[in-house]
Amino acid sequence: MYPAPIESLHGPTTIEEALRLLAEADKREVMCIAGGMSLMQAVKARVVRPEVVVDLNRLDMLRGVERGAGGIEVGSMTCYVDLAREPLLRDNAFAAISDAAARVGDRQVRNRGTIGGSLCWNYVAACLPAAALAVDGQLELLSLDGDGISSRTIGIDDFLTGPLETAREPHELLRSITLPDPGPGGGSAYKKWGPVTASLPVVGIAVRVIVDRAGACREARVAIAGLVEGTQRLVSVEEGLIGLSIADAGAIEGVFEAAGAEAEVQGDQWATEDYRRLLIREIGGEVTMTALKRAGKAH
Amino acid sequence: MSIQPITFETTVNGETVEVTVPPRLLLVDLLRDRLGLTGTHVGCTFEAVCGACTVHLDGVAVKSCSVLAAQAAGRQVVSIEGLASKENPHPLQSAFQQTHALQCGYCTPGIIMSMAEFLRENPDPNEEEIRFALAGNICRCTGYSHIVEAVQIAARELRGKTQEKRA
Repeated sequence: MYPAPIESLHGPTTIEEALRLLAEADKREVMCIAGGMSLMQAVKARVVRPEVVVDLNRLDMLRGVERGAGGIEVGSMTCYVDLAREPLLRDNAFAAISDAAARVGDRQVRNRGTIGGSLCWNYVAACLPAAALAVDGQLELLSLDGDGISSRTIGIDDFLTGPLETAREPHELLRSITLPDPGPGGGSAYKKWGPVTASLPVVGIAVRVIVDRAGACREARVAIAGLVEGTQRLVSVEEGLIGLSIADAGAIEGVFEAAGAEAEVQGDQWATEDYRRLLIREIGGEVTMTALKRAGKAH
Repeated sequence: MSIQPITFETTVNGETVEVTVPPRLLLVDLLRDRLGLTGTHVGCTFEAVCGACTVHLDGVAVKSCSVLAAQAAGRQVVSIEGLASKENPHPLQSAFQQTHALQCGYCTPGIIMSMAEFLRENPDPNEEEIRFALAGNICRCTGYSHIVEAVQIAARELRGKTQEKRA
């Protein structure tokens, strides 16, 4: 458990400088280090052997959360601890993000780990990819071309392409994640279960609902972490939740129970297949109730 | 492969040092092997699960086995040696002694560094908050009860000091 030799480490202070370093990625193994909470483990275990490491920690312009025209804009280098404390992400349509960030890893990990790092790494049992998927995050990726810095925006559904895979090209830098405002009646939540406190989840579920004035769900996005195929949406649940409200706890659990029965789950030493299906029902039911309650307050 | 060593300045326990390191050197090894600050421990062969190597980087508790040494360039590092002095121990150190919150002591520096930052952020935690905050540090001797007690005592002591200052 010690890193293989790294040729060079750079700490750019401007985005252009970072992109210039990343532009070498077609010729050599260039990797960004954000918080390093996943990458350093992979580097030390020699799962990856970057030749060039670009440390993003001096790019302060990539940190912070603000309200923009299209919703809440989150800088890619914003740490979990700051997301967990952020009033703009509390008890509302975006709260799945702060729910997830508040219980990632441990204090030392939350102090250092970032939302952008987690999304770009896209580990199968990570919390932030599921939370960002439920709240429909829109990612802005920067790169250098002949005319200077160019930018493209990609939805989280297209960004997360499979376990440890994303649509980010090696020369691209994730600048921000915009969480679109779903308007009145939006609420979201995230919850997980793992074998020890704040551990990687065996199952983690994020839900965003939009409710009508009567509190009935008219639109839902539901994402799950911890399945073998990686973080994904549960489309049958999204359809099944339409029309349900906080008065329908039993029916909501039923929708998740049916999805759990169909899901491809694999038992391991932490949880058997059956227990994972039970977790999908229990956590799904609970997290949906929280999202519905938050949504009800947003009218 | 041609390795490009990095020369940089960093402030460790209040003293500015200039070092030249290979890019792959971990912060914990800079502290222990280069600077002789062996109070920062390695408990889990660098897997970042034990928390024994916790130090403060610009005032924030981090596991120094998961930070490259050169990432500390221009930053402030505080290790257990720099937290307080023998004559005036940190209230956490006194409380750990008082409540016998350690047996082998291997995990203790990491726990104290983590809790010192935690109590700055949350000066009046309840037991549940303390236990949740301890998740990043593993102790295999004590069973944690005395550690929780020590953190409670230190929290009271630190709150008292803050009030004295205000008065």
